[in-house]
Amino acid sequence: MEFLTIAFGVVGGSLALYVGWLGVHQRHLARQLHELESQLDATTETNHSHSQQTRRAA
Amino acid sequence: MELQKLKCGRLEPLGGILFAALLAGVGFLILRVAPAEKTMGEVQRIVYVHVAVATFGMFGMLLAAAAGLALLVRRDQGWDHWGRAAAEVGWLCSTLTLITGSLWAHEAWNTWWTWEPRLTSSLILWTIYAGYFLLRSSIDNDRQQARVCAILAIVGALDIPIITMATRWFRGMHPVSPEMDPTMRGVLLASMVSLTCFFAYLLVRRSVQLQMGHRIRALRQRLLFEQGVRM
Amino acid sequence: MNAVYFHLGQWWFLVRKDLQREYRSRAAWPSMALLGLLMLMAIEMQLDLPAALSRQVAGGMLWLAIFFGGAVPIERSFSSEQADGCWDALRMYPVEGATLYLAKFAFNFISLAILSCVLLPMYVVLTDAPLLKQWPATSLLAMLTCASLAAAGTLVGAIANSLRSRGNLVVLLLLPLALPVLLGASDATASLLRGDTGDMFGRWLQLLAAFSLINLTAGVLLFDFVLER
Repeated sequence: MEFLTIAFGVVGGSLALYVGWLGVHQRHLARQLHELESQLDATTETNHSHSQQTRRAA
Repeated sequence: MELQKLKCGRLEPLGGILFAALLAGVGFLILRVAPAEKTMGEVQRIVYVHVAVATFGMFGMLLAAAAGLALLVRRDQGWDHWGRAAAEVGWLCSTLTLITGSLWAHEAWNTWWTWEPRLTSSLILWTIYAGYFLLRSSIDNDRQQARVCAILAIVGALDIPIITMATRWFRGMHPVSPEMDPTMRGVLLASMVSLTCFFAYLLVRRSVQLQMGHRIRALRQRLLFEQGVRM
Repeated sequence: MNAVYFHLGQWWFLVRKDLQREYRSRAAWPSMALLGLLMLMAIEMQLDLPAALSRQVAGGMLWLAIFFGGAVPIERSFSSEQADGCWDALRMYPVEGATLYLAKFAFNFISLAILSCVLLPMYVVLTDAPLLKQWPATSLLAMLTCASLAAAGTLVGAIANSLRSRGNLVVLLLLPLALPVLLGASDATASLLRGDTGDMFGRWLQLLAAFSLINLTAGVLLFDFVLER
């Protein structure tokens, strides 16, 4: 019986670890992606107005 | 792929709950419904998990090879994420196969390890996976990594039938699959189907993550570029 | 027909180039032979078993020594092209990947065959195994094993060569893939030493032939992808 417990523990434990890691990693990636996107939007916006200003000045 | 699809927002918890229920159901089937084996007793229940894990352990390499072939033929970098995810889940399954198999062998044959054909072939498969990840970690360039690993996965998958035959003939052992009680067979089938679905789900999740990572690297480069434009 | 002659000519040119280079520099074969001999010696020294027992076990050791010795020329056949931009120059010629693969395969096969010619007599001397009496079967087995190792080794060697940190990656990647070959060769040797060249021996030969054919095909089809930059 104890070997059965060990085997199920190992399988269940490692799968749970993997799933947990997947979840944490997913959240981390999503946050990074979100930040980058907003940062990128802001930068393009500034660049855009910047170039318009230069054009107007010219 | 579209970014919204990559995040697969609301479906995520639903999938988690679904698979938790499925796995609980399988656990119930294995521990309560399946009858105890006469000679080996309770330990025989390991087999239900072991067979499912072993199948996907081999399947992972085949999937990685198929993704590799698609990558090489279609020259689409996106297949690399699938191949890598398949190899990762396959390696995990392969490791679990070795552990559960060893535990079972300790009870059934009173030894942790014998050079029994199926044990030997899963160990060889595990080392091929190990080589695959070693190769992956020693290349920095994304495109080269994808291409070279695709080739290794294809060669590894082509090796599988040879390994199976070689280990079966080695020292002339020919094991046959034993007769099974119908309930046992049903439980085994149920566990195999649901665990395979679960591993496929993990594979999809992982591959989505790899795509996101790829996208993040691309965005970072674009951000650097845009900031450079302003300066 | 002309195309065949053309590729054959290219192939022979490449093989001759490799052989000539090896003849002039003597970079790979001496170290290969010495490594093989040392491995065989070290193993046999530890396994100082009675002859009957040693025959069962030692067959595998011979092929293991051949594998590790053979990894030297396999690694060398690609890394030597790295010097002075030889590889890039070679890629500029209108040579197809398949031809290049087959040429490298031929060179590696010749190297492994030479190594077996050195190690097999040495093995016979050390263990008193009656292998040379059955020389047709022995040489067939050795040829097929060398072909299998060379077919897989050439592909893996090219893969490992395209990396920056080459190290010992050839052995690490090749050994898992070649394990069925080593299993087959050692079991076939054991049955040869028992004096039965019947059913099982033939089956192992078939397995080795299948392995080399599969790997040769894979190499011919995939080598272009290995060479891409």
